[in-house]
Amino acid sequence: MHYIPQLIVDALLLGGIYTLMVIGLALSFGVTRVINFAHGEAVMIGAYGAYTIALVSGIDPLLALPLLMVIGCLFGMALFKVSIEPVLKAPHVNQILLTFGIGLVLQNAAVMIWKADERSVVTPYAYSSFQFGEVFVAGGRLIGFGVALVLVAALFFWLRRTEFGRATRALDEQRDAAVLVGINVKRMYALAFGLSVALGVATGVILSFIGAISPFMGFHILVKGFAIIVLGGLGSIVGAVLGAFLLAFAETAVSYYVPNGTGWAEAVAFAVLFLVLVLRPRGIIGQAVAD
Amino acid sequence: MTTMLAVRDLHAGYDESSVLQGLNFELKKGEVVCLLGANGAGKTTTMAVLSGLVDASSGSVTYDGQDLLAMPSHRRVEAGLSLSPEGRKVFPNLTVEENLVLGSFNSKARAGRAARLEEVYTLFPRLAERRVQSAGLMSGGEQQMLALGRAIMAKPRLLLLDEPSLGLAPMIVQAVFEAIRKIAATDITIFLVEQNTHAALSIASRGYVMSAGRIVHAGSAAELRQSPEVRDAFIGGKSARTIREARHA
Repeated sequence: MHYIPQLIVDALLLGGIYTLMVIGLALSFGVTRVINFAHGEAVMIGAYGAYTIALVSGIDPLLALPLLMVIGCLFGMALFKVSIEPVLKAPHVNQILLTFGIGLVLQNAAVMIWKADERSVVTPYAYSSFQFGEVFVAGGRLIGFGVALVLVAALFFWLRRTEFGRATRALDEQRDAAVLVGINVKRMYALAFGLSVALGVATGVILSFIGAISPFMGFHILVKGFAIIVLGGLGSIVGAVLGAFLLAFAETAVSYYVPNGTGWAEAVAFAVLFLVLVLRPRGIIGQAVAD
Repeated sequence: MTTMLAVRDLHAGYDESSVLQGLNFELKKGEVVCLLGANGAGKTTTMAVLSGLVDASSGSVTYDGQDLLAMPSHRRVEAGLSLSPEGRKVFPNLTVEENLVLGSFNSKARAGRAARLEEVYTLFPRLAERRVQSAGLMSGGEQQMLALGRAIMAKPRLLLLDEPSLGLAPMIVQAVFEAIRKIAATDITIFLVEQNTHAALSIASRGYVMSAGRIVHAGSAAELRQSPEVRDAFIGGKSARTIREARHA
């Protein structure tokens, strides 16, 4: 039977990837107060971007990652300017329908371009594995975890130490005062949204070599993302990190200890969403979000 | 003296309710002017329109020869117009120093940021002691100093102060106004909204009295200090308009 150190290692590796998956969603919501229902599709497009580049040119997903992130960021900023900026003052339901619609368009475009079959990128490291004592570590997951860690750390550094990062946190905390110190709010919104798409794309690139990808993966990712955000409290980036690891531990534990657990693990996110929304609607480390 | 700000027939409000109903006033370069009035007179809305937080529905505002209402908020800050808002509105989870540094976010204020930071710390030694503390954990007086400091970090030529004495103990009010006096001694023009008439008139050279979205009275600080309109408007809790109507009756 499995034992605890293996469970902890697996959960940590998964949690790192989940953190990257959700942190973009938390960033764009924290700044713009628009929930991006197309975030899962940004992940999906990133995965297919890596897949296509590998297929056409043989370039490794990790090498294609920076380019794909830049393209994702620019695409996200343009998408924000064209579609989301005009509905910033509209009711939330309009915004939700809009981003949900963008997700559907991207999903169906992906079906047309890449077909509905599951695919994955085969890399030399994807199926390697290491053994530390009794613990086995899959090479692909370890590398994915490493990339996620670097990107999340880079985001935190950017938020703490740079002019625009500081402005992003200011906007997240006190919008009026951000306007009063001369922050160009619409430009910061577009930048935060672009960065959030870039982080989603990076998540997709990692998923392209650690598992199967399909045009429909976005919805599943979105549900997990919501479960994580709801666990950590809406509007808190640090909470999102905590939520990512909580979900990863819950899923891994279920897949280890419940008979036929691997299938049930996928339902954990739904169960978490249900339970938290009923029992503790402000999240585990609850913090109210205005409006 | 040249005109710094000219407000002409300004109307503004929120959704269905109109708050400013034909506001007219002027500020000259280097002046310290106060805007007095009871709760709900439209003082804070005036500040919000000048800083761009609220849109005007009609009228004009000329700032330094430019059409202020046509400029987006961040351009107004770049042009030297800086507001310390009612209720302070500090960034609660950011440190004191981060709050101040953000004050000079605008491109015109970034050069010389370090020197201005030292000036603010000299003006408010309390902030220097707390520079790594989260702003939200400080007392109301300290947050007011921070909001003032943040506004100065923007390198203003016209400083708008909205109720800097609100909710502060008398000793702290004195300290805050002492700092405003020092700021006024540089060549920054100051426009001050206050309910604390006594404190406001102690540093302003002249003032306006506002009621129901209009200026109902204007005069030098000495005149306003003697004026029954001003005294009664605040001490009696009646609006300036009621008193004026009573006097005309």
